[in-house]
Order: sequence, then structure tokens, then C-alpha cells
Amino acid sequence: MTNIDDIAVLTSENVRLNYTLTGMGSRVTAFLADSLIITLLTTAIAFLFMAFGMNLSEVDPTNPGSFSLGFVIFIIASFFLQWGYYFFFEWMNWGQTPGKHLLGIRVSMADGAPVDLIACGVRNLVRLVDLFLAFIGITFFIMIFTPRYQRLGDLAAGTVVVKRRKLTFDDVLNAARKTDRIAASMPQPREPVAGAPRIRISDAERALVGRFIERRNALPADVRIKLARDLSARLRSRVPGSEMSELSDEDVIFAVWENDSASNT
Amino acid sequence: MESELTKFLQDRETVYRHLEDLLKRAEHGGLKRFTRDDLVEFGHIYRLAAADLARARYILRSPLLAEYLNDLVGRAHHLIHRKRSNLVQGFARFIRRDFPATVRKEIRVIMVALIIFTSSILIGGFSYLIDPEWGQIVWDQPMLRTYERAVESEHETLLATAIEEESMAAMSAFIITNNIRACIVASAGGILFGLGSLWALSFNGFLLGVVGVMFLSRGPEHNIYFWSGILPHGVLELPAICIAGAAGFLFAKAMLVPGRLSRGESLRLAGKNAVKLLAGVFTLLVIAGLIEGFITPMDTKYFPEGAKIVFSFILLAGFVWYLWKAGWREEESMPEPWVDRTTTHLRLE
Repeated sequence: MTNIDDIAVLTSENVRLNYTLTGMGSRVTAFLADSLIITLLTTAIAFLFMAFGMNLSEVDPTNPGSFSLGFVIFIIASFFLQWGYYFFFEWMNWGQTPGKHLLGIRVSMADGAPVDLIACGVRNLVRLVDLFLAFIGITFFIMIFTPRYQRLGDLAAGTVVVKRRKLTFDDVLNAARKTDRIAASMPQPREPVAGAPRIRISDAERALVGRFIERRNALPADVRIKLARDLSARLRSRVPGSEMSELSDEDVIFAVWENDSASNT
Repeated sequence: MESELTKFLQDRETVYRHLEDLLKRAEHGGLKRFTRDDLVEFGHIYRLAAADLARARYILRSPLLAEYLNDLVGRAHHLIHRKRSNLVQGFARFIRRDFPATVRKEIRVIMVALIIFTSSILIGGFSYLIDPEWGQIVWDQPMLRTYERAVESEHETLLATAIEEESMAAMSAFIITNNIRACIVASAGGILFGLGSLWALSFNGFLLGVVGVMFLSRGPEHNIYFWSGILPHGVLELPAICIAGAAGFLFAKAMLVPGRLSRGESLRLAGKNAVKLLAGVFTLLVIAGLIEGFITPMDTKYFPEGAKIVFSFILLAGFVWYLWKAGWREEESMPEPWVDRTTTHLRLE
């Protein structure tokens, strides 16, 4: 049930929570999206001020240092946008800037907790250095060689970026119902199932089989056939005899799943 | 034909939807929005969902349901255990206690930064005194000449001692944002084994030394003008950049000599203190920028140059006293700030 990019956290209630780390692609894309938003907003503010007739340059060109109040507000606003954007959103919005929200990822502490004020400050302070290093490619190396895809700022703050897949209850229920429907409509491999030898499978294999059964209808046909072939080949290899040789690939998977469920409930 | 999973889901539907609803409310307004009944309910459903998560993983073996519950339970868990205090109160406590305490704790590193900075000022000053061409370290030759001419003729705008009243706010905003930017660079650059901080401190120090000598070499009768134009804000600004540099050195120290800790762990500890120092630096810079925009340029009719210098020394004394003494008594009996009401509430029920 855990894949290589998962981090598991044991809470004080003795519940294990899993989080999936985000790879470089989503993070860079989110960063680009955020940069775009910052640029657009800064430009928009500038236009807004100009639209209201505020002079964004020196009021009196002969006197360097004479600026309108609108300009003051503009300086402060664009400064906050540039330097406070990430800090503000990551802290106020459960670790998500608009760009991260778009990509479905969020910043969290290494233990899965929402990012705290100080960590938020540290990671966004060091962002400057990470950006600088990214121009010469070093940041990407750092992210590859740290086990949790952390940049320097993440290392200093003790944060990670994790995926936030938004499953709704309906998704789960519909998937379960779909599985039921398919199981009902399938030519039931009842007979062989009853006689099929009990195969001992590991937790990981069980998760794989369960996942395959749940997702198989969402898969493209060729992928589905290939996955079924690989998975059933693995399961078949556990049985020395040929009892399952006449079953189709998917039937083998179902047979194992049903048998395994039956032996556990 | 309904599988066990479907039956289970139908059974739990209302409960989970209720939890989703509660979570959505609390994530926007915090647990404070909950009535007492909501809180009790929340506790119950949270525990049920946590148990169901294990059930989904090991008995029902539904990865999808496990993922869904993982999200719900995780969010609920963090709502209950989140440490978050009132921003205004937190800031007041930070200024009253945490910032001076951190400065005292890291005073040795700050002293190192101070020494580097002052020696850079001296080196800059002396090298310019010996041969003005040394100024090219910070500016190229045309820029250097422009600045020298400016010091001779239009020194008022250079030291910002004669700004129109309506541009004072703009001047402040300019100065504050620029200084904050410089301090961010000085501290963040420290993570590159201290090189960034070292560069920022010595470059700024050298520049200050060169400009200082430019002004002072105009003749002793201009000295009081120079000092009154630089000290009122300088007494806060210069310590601020030293502290920012020291924050950078904390990173460097963690990277180079982590001691018994792992590099990651020691970097994390350093980051905490560095960011506390830097938050204090920002506050100092805002005050210094306001002084530089509004008080330093005040007309000598209302605020004579001598008085400005006296003002500076009083400010400096007050600042040192604040760093030395503030929060002294509280420090020992510091309660852990993250024992917040919501957690205890849930434990009691």
C-alpha cells in the first residue's frame, strides 16, 4: 500500500497517515504559475493606479525624490507581492499558493502537519538562494539527491511538498458500485474459484490486485491487457500445478482476490 | 449484488459527509467556530474515521477508501493539533521577549558579523583615503566620479536631509523596501556556506566606508552635518544589517559544523533562530526607514543638527538596553506556546 514516494506518519492516536511526495515537474510548474500570477498582479496594480490618474514616477522631474502618495502605495504593494506572496499564501491557505492549488500540491511539515509560521518564513527566505542556484541547475540536483525531493529551503525549514488528491465520498462510492456491477456482469469464475488453491500473497501484492480491480475500467484497453497479463503471470507462478491455466488473465486475478477476501473475513 | 465495501460505504455515508462538512467549516474559520456539540461530535467522528482508515486498509482493503479517509483523518488531526496563535499577540510577544532573547542567545555570531562589517567600513574608508581608485571595487569609474561630484554639490539629496514634505512617505517606502531586500539577501545567502552573508556584509561595509570618507574629506566643518544626516537612522539600520548577516552565518555554521546533530537537523534549528532574527531585523528596518524618511530630513530650524545627534545616541542606548534586558525575566518561565485551548478542550471531553 505504500509506494516509493510515500511518507508515512504515525500520529499520537496511533493512526498511520500516508502522504505522497511531489516530484519536480509539478513543483516547477506550480512555481511558473505563481510567477505568472505575481507578474500579472503587479502589472494590474500599476495599470489600476494609472487608471485612477496617479503618477507612478516623479511628480516633478527636476526634483529627484518627489513622489506621489500613489507611488508609495505602489512600491509597498509590489514589494509585498514579490516577497510576501509565497509566505502569505502558504501560511494562510494550508500550504497552498494559487499555483500549488492549481497543481493539487501543498507544503507540509515533514510529519504531514500544516506548515507553521517559522518554517514558512525559513523556506521562503531560502527560496531566494534556491532560485539563484536553479539558474545554474544546482537546485535540481539537490532535489534529486535528497530522499524527499527537498530544496535547500525545505531542508532548512523541515518541510516537504506533498500531493493533495481530492477524492470525494462519491468517487469512492461510485468506484465501489462500479466494481460490484462489473463483478456481477462478469462470467463468474465460481467453479474454479472454489477449487482454486489458496495463494499466499503479500500486502503489496494485495494492494496491487485491489487497485487493479478498482481501476481496470479506467485503463486504456492495451494497458489493461498488459497489466492483467503481468499481474496474472506473477500470481500463476505461485501455483505449481496447472489448475488456473484455463482461466483468462483477469479471471485469475479475480480468483485470487475473491479467495483471499474469503479467507480473511 | 452488493459487496461488503459498498454496504460499508452506504452505512457510513452520513457520518463521513458530516465530517467533511465540519472540516470545511473549521478550515475556514478555525475550531473556534464550533459549538460545544460540534466539538464533541467532531471528536467522535474523528476517532471513528481513524478506526475506519485501518479497517479500509487491512480488512476492506480498498485503496481508494483508504486514500479518502487518509485525507479526512489527516485534516482533522492537523486541525486538532495545529499550533497557531493570534498574530497581533504573537508579534507583541515576539518583540517583547523572543527577539531580544534570540539576539542574546546568538550574540557571539552577531559579534562576528559586527566585526566583519566594521572592518569592511574601515578597509573601505582607508583604501579610498589612500587611493580613490579603490572605490572601483564598489562602483565603476564614471559612477565613482558622479558620486564624488554629487557629494561636493548636491549632498542634500544624497543624505536625504532636504526632502519635500510630501515625498517623505515615498522616501521611507523606498528605503524600507530596499533595506529589507538587502537584508534578505544577506541572511539567505548564508546558506551558501556563509559566502552570501560575507559578501553582503563586506560589500555594504566597504561602500559605507568609501562614501563616509568622501563626505568627511570635504572638511571638518561639514562633519556635524554628515553625522546628523546618518546617525538617527543609522543606529538602527547598521545593527540590523549585522544581525541579518549573523542570521546568514547561523545557516553557514549549521552546514559547516553541525556538531552532534545531522546536517539537516542542525540546519532546521539554525533556520528557526535565523528567521526570528530576521523578523526582528525587518521591524528595526521599518522603524529606521520611518526615521530616515521623516526625522532625519527635518529642517534644522525645528530639529538642529546637534539635537539630531543627541537623539541618535539616546536611541542607540535605548536599543542596546532593549536587546540586553527585554524579556529577561520571562525567559526562564516560558510556557510552550503551542499548548492551545482547542487541544485541551478535546482532551477533557
